[in-house]
Amino acid sequence: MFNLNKLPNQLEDEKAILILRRHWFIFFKSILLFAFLAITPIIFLTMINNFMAGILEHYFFAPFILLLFSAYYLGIWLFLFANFIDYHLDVWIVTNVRILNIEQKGLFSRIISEQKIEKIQDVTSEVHGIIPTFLDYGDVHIQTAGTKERFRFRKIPHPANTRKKVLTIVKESKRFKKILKSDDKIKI
Amino acid sequence: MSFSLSILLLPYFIFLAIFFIFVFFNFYHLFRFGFRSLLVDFMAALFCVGTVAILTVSFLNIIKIDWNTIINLF
Repeated sequence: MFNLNKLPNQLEDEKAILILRRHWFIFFKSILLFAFLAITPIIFLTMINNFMAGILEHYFFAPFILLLFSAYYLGIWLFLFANFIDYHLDVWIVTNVRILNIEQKGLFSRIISEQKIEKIQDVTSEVHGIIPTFLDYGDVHIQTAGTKERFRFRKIPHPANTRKKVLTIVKESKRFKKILKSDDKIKI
Repeated sequence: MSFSLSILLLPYFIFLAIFFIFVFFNFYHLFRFGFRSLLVDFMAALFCVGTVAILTVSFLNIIKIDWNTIINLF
């Protein structure tokens, strides 16, 4: 299991400053879908029972429906859990040294990428849509030097604040590097 | 053509086997790559409780059925 005090390839004096996940509403949508999928067959079965009375006592259809329902509910329960894992394992970490992008894509695909903080050139936040505007979640794009593809924090809460924080971290990091360089030139 | 009702159990058990393989991989990912938190422990426990509940209800109904009943199609 990952530990915030022991990041992948952690460097000396490296500390996690921002730990970002997608907004809770993204997982809440999966819960809503689960609730819909859980209720629909019950309504459907009630309707069928009204039109075809006695089907639930039928010697073949009763066990068939029982096994079908059991498999169906196990399936959607697993679907919800898998969605939680997908939600939980997608994480973006900003440390005082680098940005880590950890993404789980399905069960057997995992992407971990990182970029040094001083290579960040541009940070953009985006909020599109009614619900994202009300709940204040959106994307933050991070443009780094030398790479075509931008780092993208997807559907994170408070994207504008995150953008400001990342820019502050970048600025501080660059200032710190400058001080270190100038210290080298001082002759005692 | 006739067959025993218990034949319905075969695809169900195959489904259960696939289900548990996926459960294993989900837990593997969660505990191998996830960040330890109370939420993770809670969700893992909730999933286990829910799964046991569904399986218990299913089992209690499955044992009520006479699976030796012969179905005549033609």
